[in-house]
Amino acid sequence: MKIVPSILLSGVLACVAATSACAADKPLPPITKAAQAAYWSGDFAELERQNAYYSQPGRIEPDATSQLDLFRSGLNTVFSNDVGNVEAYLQEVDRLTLQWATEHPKSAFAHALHARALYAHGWSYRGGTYAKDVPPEAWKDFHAYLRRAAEYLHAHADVALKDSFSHHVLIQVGRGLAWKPEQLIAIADDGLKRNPEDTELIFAVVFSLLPKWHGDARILDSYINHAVQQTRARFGTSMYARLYSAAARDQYGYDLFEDSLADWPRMKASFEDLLARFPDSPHRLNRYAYMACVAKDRQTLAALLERIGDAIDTSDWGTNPQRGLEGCRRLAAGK
Amino acid sequence: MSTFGLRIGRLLSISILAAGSAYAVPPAAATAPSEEDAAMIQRVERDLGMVFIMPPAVKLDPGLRTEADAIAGAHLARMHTLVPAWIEEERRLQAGADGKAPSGAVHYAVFARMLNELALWQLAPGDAAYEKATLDAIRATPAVCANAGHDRHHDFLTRIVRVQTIPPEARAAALATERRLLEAWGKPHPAPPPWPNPLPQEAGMEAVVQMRSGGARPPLALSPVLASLLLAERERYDSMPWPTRCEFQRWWLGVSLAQGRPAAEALTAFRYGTLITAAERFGDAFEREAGTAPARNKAAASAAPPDYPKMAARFDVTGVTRVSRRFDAAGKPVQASVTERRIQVRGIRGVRPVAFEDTFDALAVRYALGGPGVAPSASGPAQAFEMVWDLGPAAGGATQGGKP
Repeated sequence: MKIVPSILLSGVLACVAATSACAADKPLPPITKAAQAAYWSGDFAELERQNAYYSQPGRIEPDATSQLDLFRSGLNTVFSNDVGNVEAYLQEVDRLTLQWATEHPKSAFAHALHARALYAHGWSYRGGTYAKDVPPEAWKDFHAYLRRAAEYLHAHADVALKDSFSHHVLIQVGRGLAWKPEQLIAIADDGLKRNPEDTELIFAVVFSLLPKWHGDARILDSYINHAVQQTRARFGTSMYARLYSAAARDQYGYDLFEDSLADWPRMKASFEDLLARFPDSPHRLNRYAYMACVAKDRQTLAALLERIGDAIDTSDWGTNPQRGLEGCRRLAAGK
Repeated sequence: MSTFGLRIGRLLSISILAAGSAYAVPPAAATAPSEEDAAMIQRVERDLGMVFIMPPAVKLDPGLRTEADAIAGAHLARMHTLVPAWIEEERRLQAGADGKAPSGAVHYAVFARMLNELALWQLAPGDAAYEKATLDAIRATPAVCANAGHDRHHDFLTRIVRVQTIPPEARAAALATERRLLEAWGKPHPAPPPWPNPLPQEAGMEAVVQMRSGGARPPLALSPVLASLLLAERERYDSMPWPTRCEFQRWWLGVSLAQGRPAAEALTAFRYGTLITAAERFGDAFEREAGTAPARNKAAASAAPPDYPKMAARFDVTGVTRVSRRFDAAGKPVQASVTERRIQVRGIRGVRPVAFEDTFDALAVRYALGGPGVAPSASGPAQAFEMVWDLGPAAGGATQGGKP
């Protein structure tokens, strides 16, 4: 989607549907909007300030969403701005972020942002289509930009890797370059040492370990178990539900419990833990209900639907939410 | 040239700036004005009051907001004394044989004087410390270009937002300068600096054109908003909203400094680039009010002699605009800019009417680009001409003067 210039006037914003913080017609969360505004107008000092603020411990929304994720979603909207001449735009964004990194050589965030710009540039060649639809020449540019991003972070690793944003970018780059799962997991583990609450690293690895990328059900399950242990002190067992829920969203859908090693009783307990830690979240309740539907747990689904009442959030009900919800309601009613 | 008949004959009811004043001003101490003049005073002060409103939505440190409101209040109180005196002066100067002056003409003359004070204030430098702090603030953050959508009356707001970006220890001095600059209203002014030639937006857009074609690049990259609009969408400078144009001016200020331009020169260029002139403030509001807003693309080159701008007619703006243009090898004009302005405005005396000096710029450039070309030449000749803007009874909208 296109970002309109009036952002500087009144905050009339577009958003990129691919980001977790921005469903198709939902307004952007304030944190996302602020990040977008600062980046859009080229306010590096403000971006640096926001990044430092949201990287602090405890910056978590009442529904368990990481504020750092919301901040980075704002950056993503600027990278993904839909413009007439995307090459001219992204070249300039590359230059701007490199300029910032050069002006602020000690800023880990500046280096990470430049690498993220190169990654975005690469993806503009690949596009969001199936791999079979990507022209061969585009693959070359895609890989070349991703390699540049990796090389840039490698060259500035001593500074850049102080911020787990660099690890996040590196995992994304590694996914595109088909790095081995062990490599990606090692990067995430290192990033979590820098910032134990940067759960986006874990989600990025989970995404990379889906069969449609370079993983399989066994590797995925192994990593999710590893991640639950890693985050137990802060999040209990709740990451199990969130990570398998993400796996369902990004690949498995209604086949989650057939095609992956997800275990519904464990997932259900994990959702309960999540709701105990982050109560009264309509988003989490909706997602829990949807997953109960996927698991065909009629009793749990019915109880959750009753609990949700009118607070249905269709963005949590799969890719065809209206029909999906209809089917789930029928299941709950035993029809 | 064809004749142009519109003259100021009556007070029209355009209310460009006003919707109400935020400040209660004390009654004037002088003798009570007539009912008509009292209404005129109220209208001028209401318009001016809009410029000094600090919208609650704008995030300001509470202490700074209090200071800003106090500065604004003191200024409006001063103006409450000054405006009646201006009206009286205009009535005296415009009085006909019967000793009376038409109220419409008097009102617009006083309004013009107020707009020019606003413009002179925007261009006036402070002391060295203020200039340095201002330059640093502009360079430091795009926040100085945020105006919360108050496009036509954000003069004071923009300055206070800039002060907020100045380090706290330097704020008191900056606010003292703001007070001092406002106290200069209505007093004899030093000559404002000359208009930059080329204008910063012209020089900056020239650089953008080079960037678009893969040519030489300035040392600073564009922000995403500017890259999106100017490189990816190839928008024109004047099609962008004010905050984005201000952001462009910030970028060009940085480029100018990086290229070794003196700081004072770069800051003056920025001030002219972001100046809210009468043309900027009113846009085509007078045309719209008259139902004659042009349907065609405002920026499109046109060989037809331009109509006299309604705003210029209303404020009695006349004078000469000197235009320079370049041609390509085929003799087609490819670039034009205004290089000199000799403008007069009723009500503005003893100082350049900077608020109105660019009134004819856009029309002149459009005409220069759309006007007749020259014989083909491989060298790409340049040419300058003058356009005379005259509201005399038998005068045309504009007359193209002799070529040097």
